[in-house]
Amino acid sequence: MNEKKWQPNINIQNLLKRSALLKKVRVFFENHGYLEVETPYITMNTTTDPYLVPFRTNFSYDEGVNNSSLYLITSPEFHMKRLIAAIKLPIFQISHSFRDQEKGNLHNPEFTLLEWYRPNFSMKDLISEVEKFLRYMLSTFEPTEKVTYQDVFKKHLNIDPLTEKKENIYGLCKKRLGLDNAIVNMKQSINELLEILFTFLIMPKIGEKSPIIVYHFPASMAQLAAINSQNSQVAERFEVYYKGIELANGCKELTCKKEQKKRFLKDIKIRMSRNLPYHPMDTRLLDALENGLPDFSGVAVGLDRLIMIALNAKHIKEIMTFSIERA
Amino acid sequence: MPIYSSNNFRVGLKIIVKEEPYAIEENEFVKPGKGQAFVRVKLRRLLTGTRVEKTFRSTDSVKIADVVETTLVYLYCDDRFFYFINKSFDQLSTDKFLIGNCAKWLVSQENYSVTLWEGKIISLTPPKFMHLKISNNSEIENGLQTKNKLVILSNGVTIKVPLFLREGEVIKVDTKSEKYVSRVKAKIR
Repeated sequence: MNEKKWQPNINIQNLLKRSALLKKVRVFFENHGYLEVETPYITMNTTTDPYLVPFRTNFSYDEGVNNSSLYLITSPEFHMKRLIAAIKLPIFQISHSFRDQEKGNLHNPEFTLLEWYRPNFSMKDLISEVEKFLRYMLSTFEPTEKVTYQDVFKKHLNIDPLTEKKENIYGLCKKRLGLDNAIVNMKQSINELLEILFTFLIMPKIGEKSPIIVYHFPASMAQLAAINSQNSQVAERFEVYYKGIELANGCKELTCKKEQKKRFLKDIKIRMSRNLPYHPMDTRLLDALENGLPDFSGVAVGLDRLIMIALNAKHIKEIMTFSIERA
Repeated sequence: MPIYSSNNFRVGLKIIVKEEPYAIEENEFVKPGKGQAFVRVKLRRLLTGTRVEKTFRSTDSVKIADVVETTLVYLYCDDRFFYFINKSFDQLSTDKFLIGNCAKWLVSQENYSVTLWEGKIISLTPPKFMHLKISNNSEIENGLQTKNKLVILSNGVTIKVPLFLREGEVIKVDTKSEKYVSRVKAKIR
């Protein structure tokens, strides 16, 4: 008898504390001059990222809407960028996002992302603001450490991720992790192997006492970030880790339509090579880029995870009213 | 044999890895940023009891092990086998060597917790306490200590007991530590 399943999985104390934290978020952004916006949860254009699996749905009326596929957003990023292209104001959003096939103590298929974007903000500016935000939300802690992607690999694994040969990176994976060939093999890309090393060997060792910011990801891992103007090997992208949890992903955004289209095409090629469903690129985002955007930076924070840390929770369901099993 | 995808794993599930049954004791879904997803599990190898860690891709699948935990009643034995019976009165026999050391606690008509894999016993646990009769009162003094003596129980196990106990008396024994616990007073039926 599923007597308890009608009940929320969060307890009343956490519910009250979560509410207080949400209020704090809004206070922070109001004080820093940001406009709160709401963008759609359903979209015609989904991400091309080969590692994300969006939920699909249909709209019943045909009026101007291509009802063959609609998707739930995996992040509000594309809409918020289109908004910036139109209004050029600093904006923030507390948005639900949806990712299929992700469930665990840090993952729920429906989760909350806090995203904010500011024109005329460099990656450095944004990193400072993220630090300020975390300090404000989690109360004081020791100063955040900042390290480049290159240096964090050199320090913990003695290799340079920007120049090391693939065979050596692969060798390190096999030697240090003992993962079998199904998981680690030479057919994978260098980036995938580096990601495995980072996840299993570096992440558990960093950001223990205070959040750590890893910046200047390799250019090949830029995603939607701009390439560094002085060093084309690195992208203006950073991530924040704390207590073994990946908390945020931010960057100085790419504003060049041509380059963005190239990256979308690369993703599409990878999807095809893996027999993944075809996702056409978001042409409306490309049109917004073509229209012209000021230099701007933005970041996505896993708000549920931030709340987990603030409330000392071990599982994401402890800080959600109804996780997927009870939704 | 049903198949489970690694992202459906849960604690307590019994799976087959390299043709052997394992029990999942801990289960963690790992997905970095926008990278590939993994499932990291801590497993207990059922045939040996040892613990191992394994990482799966979230798209991997494994066979479910046909492992059942149940209670059987021990009946008797012959040269090669021990014979048990279950609640449905089906008889189960098992090679003596598979039971190993636990064999000394097998007493006819007693209940035993067993783990069955594909219908065969892979592990047996005697009850925590058992009542056994002292069959041989060999008054072997325990060195200079005269408070205890060694006796042999009806199942052949030698155990240290207080001096006042006599042959034919029934005592309560802790099967894990193999120690005397208390005397069992005979009930008048």
